[in-house]
Amino acid sequence: MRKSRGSVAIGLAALMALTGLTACASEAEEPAAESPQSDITLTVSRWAGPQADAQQELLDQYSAETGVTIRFDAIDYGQLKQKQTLNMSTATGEYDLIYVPEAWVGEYTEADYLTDLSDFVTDEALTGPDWDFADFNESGVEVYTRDGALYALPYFVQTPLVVFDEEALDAAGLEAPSTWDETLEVAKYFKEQGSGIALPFRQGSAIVNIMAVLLAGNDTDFFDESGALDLTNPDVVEAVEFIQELSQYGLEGSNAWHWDEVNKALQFGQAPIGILTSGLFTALENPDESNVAGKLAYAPLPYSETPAGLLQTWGWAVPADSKHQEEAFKLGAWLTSKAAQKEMGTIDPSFISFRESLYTDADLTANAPWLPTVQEALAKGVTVPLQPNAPALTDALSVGLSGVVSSGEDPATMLQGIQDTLASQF
Amino acid sequence: MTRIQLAPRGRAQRRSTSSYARKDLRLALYLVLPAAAAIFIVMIVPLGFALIASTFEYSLGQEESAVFVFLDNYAKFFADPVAISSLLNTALFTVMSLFLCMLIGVGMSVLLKSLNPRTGNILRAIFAMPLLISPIIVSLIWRYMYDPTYGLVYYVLSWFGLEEWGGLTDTTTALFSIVITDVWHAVPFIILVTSAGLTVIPEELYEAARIDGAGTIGTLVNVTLPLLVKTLIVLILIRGTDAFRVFDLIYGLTGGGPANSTSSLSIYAYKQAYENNEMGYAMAVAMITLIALVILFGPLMRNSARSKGDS
Repeated sequence: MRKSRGSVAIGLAALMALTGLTACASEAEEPAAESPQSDITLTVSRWAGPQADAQQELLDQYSAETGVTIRFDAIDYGQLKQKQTLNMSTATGEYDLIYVPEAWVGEYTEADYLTDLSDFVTDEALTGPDWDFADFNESGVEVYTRDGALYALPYFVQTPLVVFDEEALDAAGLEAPSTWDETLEVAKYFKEQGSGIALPFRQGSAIVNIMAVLLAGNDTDFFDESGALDLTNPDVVEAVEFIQELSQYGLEGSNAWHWDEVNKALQFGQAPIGILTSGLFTALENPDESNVAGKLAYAPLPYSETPAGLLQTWGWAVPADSKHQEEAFKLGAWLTSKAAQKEMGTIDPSFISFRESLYTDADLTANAPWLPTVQEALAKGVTVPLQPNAPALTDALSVGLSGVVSSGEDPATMLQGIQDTLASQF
Repeated sequence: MTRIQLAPRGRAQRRSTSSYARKDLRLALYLVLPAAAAIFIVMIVPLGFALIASTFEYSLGQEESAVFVFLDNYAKFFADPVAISSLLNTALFTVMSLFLCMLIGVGMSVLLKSLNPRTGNILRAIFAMPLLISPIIVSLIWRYMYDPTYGLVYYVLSWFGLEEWGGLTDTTTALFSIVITDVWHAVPFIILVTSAGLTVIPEELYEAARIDGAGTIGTLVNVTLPLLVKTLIVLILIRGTDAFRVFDLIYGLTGGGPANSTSSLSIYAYKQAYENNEMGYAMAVAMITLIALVILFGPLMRNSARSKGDS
């Protein structure tokens, strides 16, 4: 017993000595890399929502690469705008890089809260040699541009698409739908079979988002060329009539559904086709969570003239009161670089970048097969109205559209009513 | 009752008593002061802030550019048909929910009291379960229950050929569907409080009623309900104000739709504040809600605190 204990002790000592020698040898061979030093501390304001953890990983990586200290202020969405506004309006210089959706940019730029990044994006000393600004989706850049000046780097986009079970359509001898008529045909077929198309037609933002894309797909808009409200335009009425007709072929209960219920109906195979926002696609393609993983195909929302997509976006902006504008921009450029964006997409497939080259990247499309369709849709990317009075319009439309799909209200009458009430505000 | 006759007090004794009384009063005031300050800060200050804010037009985060509009926000409320329909929806919801809650809750409490105590206690505990769930979770549960494709409600309705019922998707049935959910959630509270109230009614009164030949309904009307009046008033007060302020259930079930048919005052105020970013107007809606509550339930509040001898 004593002998065997002694042998174990000698063995362990030999092992430790050997490990120590190996460590010394490798230290001798490879001199320790000098870790970069910087006195700069950047404070980043972001929503503590989806992808915040992945974001933290990337920020840590940037800190390690550059030595810049990053304070990550990730807070609840409900407080985000208030906190950003409060800091920028009092010029505290607290934030160096802020995460902003397209809806806030107009207000921020009018108040002169943001730095014009137009010169920064062409300065290779700040962006690095491989940054390639031309690779960004044009619609994304346009969303963050005011009077020719760029105020944020487009970072992340969500858009609704049509999702369908390819096997179910093949079995029914139906083609993948693209146009209004084709979609109605497919939805009608499945309705007659006892299911239908899953639609997020509950009173709320989703139905207005869909309307915005349908208008773009019909080559029209909420406003005419002079910027006046134009809801009585026949092309707008036509799009709402399509919404009403499509709702007749909706899965039972669809008129009270939001995105999450559509997601469940598709995930469990109850709906062979539906309209869903891209942020929820990951769950559909996860075999552990979905009955239809691997069987799905994606298409832009139905159109009558051109495919279109919705720009629900986030971008990185540098506040005008930041004390480290160039350093903050460098971080923004790094976060929107192709490599960092690909890493985000790898960590979370529901992350969709604005970089055109990533929509067809084989590594990403393996887990996110919807990316090429997103590219097709975003070729004509549109937003919901963003004017200061827009909430009144989108609220009225959500109520009106809800009446159209649930009570059979006449689309033209509904649109005329909103036009009469709100035309003076736009 | 024996009345105690106090001996007449002398001047010195009265002076000393009065001095003690003053000291006692001062001490009492000091002791009450922290609580009174807390109540003032927690309750009165926010109310005062809301009242002042309701006379301004401003957006969240842009308070420095607020414009004083005096009573314009209140006038705007009464000129907006959506606001008026939200007020009517709220009133209708409150009446339906309160009526059903009281009817079912008090009925079940009386029924449970008539059972064997052990069985009654077990059933009471089972019935109390929904009370433990938060309203937003209740709304999520019922959202799936009401789903025509895979919801339990429609499964049951299909047994009777009623699967065409509109539920949450129809403007004519959506509000009543939410009332059913609210009743399911609130009835346990009525059962628990009423059951506690029933325990203090002397058994002798029931015996006397039985000897006098009173039937079940007669005993309920002449003995149980009159002796439960105070409890019922408090219940109506609590449940009525709760129902009038309903937010979570509607927000989770319909978001105020379809076509605003379930929009309540709270939902309307929330939309004005966080979707339309009209904070001053939202505050005015909140103040109108408060005033409506005081008008509707103020007399009951006074009554619930009044003892028999008060005039």
